[in-house]
Amino acid sequence: MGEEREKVRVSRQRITHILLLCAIVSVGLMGYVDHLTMTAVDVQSTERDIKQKGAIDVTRTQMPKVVFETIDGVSVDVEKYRGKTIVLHFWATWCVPCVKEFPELLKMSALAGENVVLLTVSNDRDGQAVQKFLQKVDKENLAQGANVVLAIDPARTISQEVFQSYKLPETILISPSFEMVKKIVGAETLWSDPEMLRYLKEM
Amino acid sequence: MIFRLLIAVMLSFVVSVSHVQAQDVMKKLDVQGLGNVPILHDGRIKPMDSFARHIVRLIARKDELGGVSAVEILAGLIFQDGKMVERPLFVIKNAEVVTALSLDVKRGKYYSYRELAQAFQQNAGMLNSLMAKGEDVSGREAELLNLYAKHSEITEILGSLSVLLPYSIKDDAILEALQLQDMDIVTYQDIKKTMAQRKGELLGALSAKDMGSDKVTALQRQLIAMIYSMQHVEQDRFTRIFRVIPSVWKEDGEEWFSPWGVLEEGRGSPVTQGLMVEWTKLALAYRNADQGMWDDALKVITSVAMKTQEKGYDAEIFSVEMVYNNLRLFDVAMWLCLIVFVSVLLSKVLDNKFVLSFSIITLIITFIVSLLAIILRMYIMQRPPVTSLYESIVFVAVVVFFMALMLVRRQYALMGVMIGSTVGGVLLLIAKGYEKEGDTMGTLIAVLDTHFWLATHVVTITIGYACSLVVALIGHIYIVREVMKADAASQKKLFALLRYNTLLALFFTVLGTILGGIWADQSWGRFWGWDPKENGAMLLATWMVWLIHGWQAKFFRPFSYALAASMSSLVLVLSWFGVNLLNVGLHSYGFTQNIALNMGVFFAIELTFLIVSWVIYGRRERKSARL
Repeated sequence: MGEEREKVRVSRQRITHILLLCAIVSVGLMGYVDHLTMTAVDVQSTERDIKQKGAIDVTRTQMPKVVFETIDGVSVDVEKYRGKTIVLHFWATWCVPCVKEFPELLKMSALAGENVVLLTVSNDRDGQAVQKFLQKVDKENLAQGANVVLAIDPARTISQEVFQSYKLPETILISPSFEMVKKIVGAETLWSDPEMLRYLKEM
Repeated sequence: MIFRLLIAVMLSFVVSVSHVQAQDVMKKLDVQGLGNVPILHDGRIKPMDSFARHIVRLIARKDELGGVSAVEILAGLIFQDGKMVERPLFVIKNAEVVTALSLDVKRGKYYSYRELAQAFQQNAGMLNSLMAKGEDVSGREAELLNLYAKHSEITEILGSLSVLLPYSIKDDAILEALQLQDMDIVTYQDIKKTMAQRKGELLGALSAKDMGSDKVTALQRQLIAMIYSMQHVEQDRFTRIFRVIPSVWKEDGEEWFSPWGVLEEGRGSPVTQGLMVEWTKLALAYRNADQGMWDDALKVITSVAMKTQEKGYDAEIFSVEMVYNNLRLFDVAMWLCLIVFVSVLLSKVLDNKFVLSFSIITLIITFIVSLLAIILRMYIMQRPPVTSLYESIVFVAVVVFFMALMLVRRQYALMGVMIGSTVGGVLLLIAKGYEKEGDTMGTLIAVLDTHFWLATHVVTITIGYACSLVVALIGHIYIVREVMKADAASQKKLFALLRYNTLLALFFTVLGTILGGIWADQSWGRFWGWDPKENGAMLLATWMVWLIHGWQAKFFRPFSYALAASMSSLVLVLSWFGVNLLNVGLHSYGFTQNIALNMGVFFAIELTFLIVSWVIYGRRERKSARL
């Protein structure tokens, strides 16, 4: 009987020791884990800091505020077109695919109606090259497209430093709420396709 | 190949002339925060810390080198710290490779990026002919090509940020000529832009034959040098490894891009532009060892990534992965195994129950630690515990710890602790070898990404492997005890335990194999395809069936049963590792010299042990029969 009790006592003692040791190890481990997670970035305070410093606007797809200069030397604030679909097109007259694509874009602009603005930004050195090129393209389409803005960006400040556009031609589709919805790299040949026109109108 | 070699050589040139001349940056700047930045690598968004460890393990087979952490090494590489390309980072264990590349034999066996770049340049012809050989290369040649591949990967990392690194142009005349005098930070993009616009004007009507003549002014000479330098940098435009820029375009899905990739693939946007400016600031902060600027830039970079949750980033998982990386629980478990092993030996020598209790408690802790590691991995990867060979090894180790503890509970304390510490420890050591191959949390191939069947089949079969291993070990212990003439009563008890474990192994291997068939049926449309891995699993199950039937039919006596049970270790190694070496089937990883060699050594030792035991036992039996 006494032996049995002794056995139970030893066994209980052993269990207590094991539990105690596990507790000590767990506390140590928790402390260490806590220390490690402290080194990770605190999400909320980081966002607060950034807002205060006015760094990158992390509302990612909003169209930034930019003012373009047309080939005629007129400044155009993009804000003017809020409420319309904007087809922001980066191109240059020395870029072969751009030159092939351009008439198709003008055709699209003529067909799409007033609520779609074609904003082309040329990377040429001066407006003359663009003017010269336009003389060759379908003047009818150009005349009909009342919503065509022919801007020029010789220093590539807007093209490269704002929109990071390097692979001409590049096109960004912007919704009436100024959301940059889609980016098309390379020449798109289906601009005047009915489906594309419907997509642009319903954006 | 020559092209890559050229890049390597050019890069070493560019590194030497243009970029960071950081003076002991590490002493002044705490770069560890870089470890929190997310990166898309191997199909998974992971902390930079994991990426850095992967890279450093790949070249140095270590997590850190001479007190410099993986993140510090990576920072040195991406920001083109001149000291980092001079630092011995590449380990070459094979002396023949060192000789083949005409490198100096070093005791430490570590070589710098630049040393290897020069060696590869000098041996370009040899490398070319090796590549032409295709798969028909010797072990030494394969290692040489492997080293070259690793070097190329570092070349890519060195060039990954060159598009945005700040240039230090000290000559005001050049800055003025390029109209960059008003800019605080000048990058490759700025120089390239102004060069493209004003090249003709700056160089005038210089023709090729004018070069080197008196017609060329000092300024023009410098500009020509700069054009060449830009051309070198432009070679990096193919680098895609450093995917730290999340795309904002919906059509890109969960794709992230390298800085060069953003520009080359036309995925830029105002946000990516802003992010790249922050990376430039980070590089500048690194160069100037400016902690304030470093921390600010890092905060913006991390925060933008955090805003892109739909791009595969999860802050919770991220911090858990950082904790997992830092805790290195499997390493802790491995050291604990050593403590258990030493203490259990001590308890036997000293005949001290307290020391035995200590070893049991330590084994419990080892089990908990390794189980925690597996749980953390499951959480990080959001998938079942066993999806690769590495994971199957650590999982078997955990199951072995558990079974060892069960043995302890069934009054086999000494045996349980011995099995747990030795087998578990050795398995974790083997796993550590695999860890050095790179990231152990890689992406699954599509067919494995079916959670339910993966969880059931692979886990069951792996438990089956663990049980078979325990069967083999108890068999070994039985044999040793029999040869050492242990008392019959305890041997009988042990034999019952061996048979019980054989049943357990049979249950899991058969169930695992059948579940594997069901999975194969779901994934590939056939239940059984005689794939080597399927055959291996069936072989193990058949072996267990043979053991049990052999005993029931009185074909085996206890000793021969133990011998056959011990041999299940050979069958296990064959089906676990061996079938992967075959160049056929769906589970093939290709022939690996090291695995083949290790398997050969294991087979030789195991067979020697079994034959010697059998001979000793047989002689003794015959002797006693004669008496």
